[in-house]
Amino acid sequence: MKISDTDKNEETSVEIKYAKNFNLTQKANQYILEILDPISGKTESLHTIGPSKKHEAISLSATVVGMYAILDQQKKLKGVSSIDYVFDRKVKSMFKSGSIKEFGDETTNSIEKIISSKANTILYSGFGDEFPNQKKLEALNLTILPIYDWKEIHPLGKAEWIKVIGALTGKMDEAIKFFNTVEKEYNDLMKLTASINEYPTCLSGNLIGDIWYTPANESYVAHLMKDAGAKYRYADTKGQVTLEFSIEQILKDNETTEFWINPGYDSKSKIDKFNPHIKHLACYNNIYCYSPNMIEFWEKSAAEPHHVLSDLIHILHPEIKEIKSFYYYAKIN
Amino acid sequence: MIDIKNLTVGYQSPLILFADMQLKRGTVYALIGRNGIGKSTFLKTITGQLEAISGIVNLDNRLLSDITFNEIPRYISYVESRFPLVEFLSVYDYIALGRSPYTNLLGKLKEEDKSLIQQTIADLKIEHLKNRFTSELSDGERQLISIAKAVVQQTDFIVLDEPTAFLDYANKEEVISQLKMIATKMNKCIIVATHDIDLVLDKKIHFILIDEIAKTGKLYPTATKNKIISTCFKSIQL
Amino acid sequence: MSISRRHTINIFVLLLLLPTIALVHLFVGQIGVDSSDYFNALFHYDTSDSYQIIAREIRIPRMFMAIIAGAGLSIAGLLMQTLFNNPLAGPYVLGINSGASLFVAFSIMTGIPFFTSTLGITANALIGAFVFGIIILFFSRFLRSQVSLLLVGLMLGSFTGAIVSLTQTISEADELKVFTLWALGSLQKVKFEQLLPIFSVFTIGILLTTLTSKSLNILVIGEENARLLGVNIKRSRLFIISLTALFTGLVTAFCGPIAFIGLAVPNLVRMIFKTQSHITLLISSALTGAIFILLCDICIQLIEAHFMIPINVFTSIVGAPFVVFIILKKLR
Repeated sequence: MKISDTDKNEETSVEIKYAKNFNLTQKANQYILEILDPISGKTESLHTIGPSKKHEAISLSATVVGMYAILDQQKKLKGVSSIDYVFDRKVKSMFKSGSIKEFGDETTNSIEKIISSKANTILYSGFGDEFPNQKKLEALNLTILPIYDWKEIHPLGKAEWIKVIGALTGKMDEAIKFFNTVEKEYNDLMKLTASINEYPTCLSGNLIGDIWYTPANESYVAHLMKDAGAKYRYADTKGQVTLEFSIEQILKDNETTEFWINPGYDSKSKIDKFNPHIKHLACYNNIYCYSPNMIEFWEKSAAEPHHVLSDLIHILHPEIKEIKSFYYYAKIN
Repeated sequence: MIDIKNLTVGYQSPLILFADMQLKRGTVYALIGRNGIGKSTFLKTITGQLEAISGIVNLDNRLLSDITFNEIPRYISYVESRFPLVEFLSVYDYIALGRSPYTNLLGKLKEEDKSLIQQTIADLKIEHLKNRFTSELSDGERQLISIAKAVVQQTDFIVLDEPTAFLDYANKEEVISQLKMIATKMNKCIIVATHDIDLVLDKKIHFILIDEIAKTGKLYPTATKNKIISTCFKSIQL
Repeated sequence: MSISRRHTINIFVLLLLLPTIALVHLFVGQIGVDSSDYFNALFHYDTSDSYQIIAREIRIPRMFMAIIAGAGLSIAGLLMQTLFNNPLAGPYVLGINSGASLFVAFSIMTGIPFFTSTLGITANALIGAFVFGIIILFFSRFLRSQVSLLLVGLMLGSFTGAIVSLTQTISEADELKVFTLWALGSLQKVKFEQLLPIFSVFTIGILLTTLTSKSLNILVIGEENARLLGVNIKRSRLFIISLTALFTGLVTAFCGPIAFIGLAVPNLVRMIFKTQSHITLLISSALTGAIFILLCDICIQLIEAHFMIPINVFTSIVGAPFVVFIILKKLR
């Protein structure tokens, strides 16, 4: 629990257990949101948010759209990045009726369209840079919030960002309640793998051009694999960086790897086309990915990591976790 | 022999009507006419690059229009007034291109091709240029090697479009005298489009003069300077 | 024009260098693959041994594709330089690659499965390269200046680049991915089994190209002169541009766009050999181009431990300054 430096009498911190990239402090019926730089951990920006303000948001992040949907606050959305990447039915029908519009991503959106939408908040996946035209938009009283959920390493840290959405929409209690359920489910699942002896080796990522990109050990993917009872092949690496390997290195390192998670394609024919040399590895027969439910995964998996964990435990240890069907994942044939 | 009957040349519309004439081997013919009157059109027509508007051209008793484009190089060789600007093209290789109508698919020179090239180089006294690049030569030297290329092509007819245009006086004389030598010693029929009237006022050279007003071309076995000017350059006199 | 004695010696040296460097290329990389791995990979292939997989599936195809790309693009460049009488011509600068890219982009975006197959992509790359070759040929009829033709090529490249981007914005994510990954290019995407058909097509292309050497020799002195020496200009032009398209399309289909090789190598070879004998230029450009890409790829492998560079980035880094040098020398 973190305490704000300023006036301690009036302010109470919202408990943040896993997320590293933000702090929330309640002040009267408003909240002070402190966005932290994911690399240095220092304060990147401070925002006063909360229900006293009429809240109308444009969310360019799919995860955030999912969190609005979980809290049933779609009506407070004015816009999304692209309706093609929206899963939620209610948002889709609001797009059809015209109350939600498309704004493109950070690089393609139009400042005039944003201003004319009358939205007062923009949420986007932060990359450490300012939002385009940030100064002009702020001068017009728009709140611009970089969302660093994707930088959280702990899956529950990602999920905890729902508290920010709760603060924005005035649904903090619901957000906390939802998060606590998720946390319990997740931790219960982890207990299943606490007693296992065999940790199957797992590979992740794929070739883009000639380079195989996969996250280093301090990453969401590696964390999930560990919690699911797997040994991530590159668990000996450090940092939050993306690793780059040549195909030769991958082939040499993964002679005995058993599972390949998240190859980026939903069929073996596509994998063969862009990665024709990997078919001899054992893990080629154990490929699992969320691609068939990609849009749903992008939108919802961050807030509901227990479903991802449940899928992964079943993939790796079917004997300890039986499921009727996968939530997101599918085996690739 | 080039046998010309009632020939009208031109691109879309008739430019010049040529009277019947027979151009024989062993002779240099000077084609003289005002700039733009149709000298090049005539040369293109008798070398088969341009179809005649009407009339007949016979090459050694064969109708020109019956001769296919790949046979033409064995009848007529052609020397352009402008020399191609190419780097690293050796004089020998350039002259040897004259043999290409006779070489195989890969253009390989046979022994007899090589000795012919060597002989021609000796005949034209350009031995010293043989191993140089064409890009290093003077305009006069380039004209001589172009003529050598035409000679090794071993055609009865050699057509030159203003070969003396860019040359100084000494080089002009050299080119004309070489052409006369080739015509008589090698028994060729040479047609030269030119403006250098003084150089071709020679009793061995015959004239095809293009009348500026009448737009007709006619063969004259001999001509004086006055005759040429009064036929071809009437507007200058007036 | 045949091959002179001095040139025979030079070509002999190149002929010795190529297999030597190709051999070195096989043994350079992060992973230490030794000769017994190669022997086993070829004669007792065991797919459970990752070293053999690397040898057979990656190193050998990569070496052959480097040779094919280097030789093919250099020949294509030489053909275009002589055909257009322009030392700065090449399959990349004149937009022949763009033609291949455009056709591949369009066909992939249709979503028809055949077009995303190797055969479909190859066929479209060849057709696209040929169509753009014809377009450049058409423009070259009206352009006297060497620079104008290059500007047309540049415009053709920008235009297709824009069309491709436009196509990308309206295409489905899946097809977009197929195209983006194809366009990245790679020497190692070819499978061992694909080498034989690719190499056969390449060899046929080389054999057909030698048949053009005579007309190329004559075309050097201009089309007018060539015609009067019995060259069928229209047919030769079409034949030469088809071969250019064949090499460019083939290389682009399997390795993506690789810049500047086609422009730089024939110029380098002409500077060294100082001849216009095209049989000499064709053989030595092919050998030099192959050696050049092998060397580039060896460098890439050597620095791969630190960071990875795509082959076309590397060839541009090396090739672009050389092209500027040629411009300074020839077009001042």
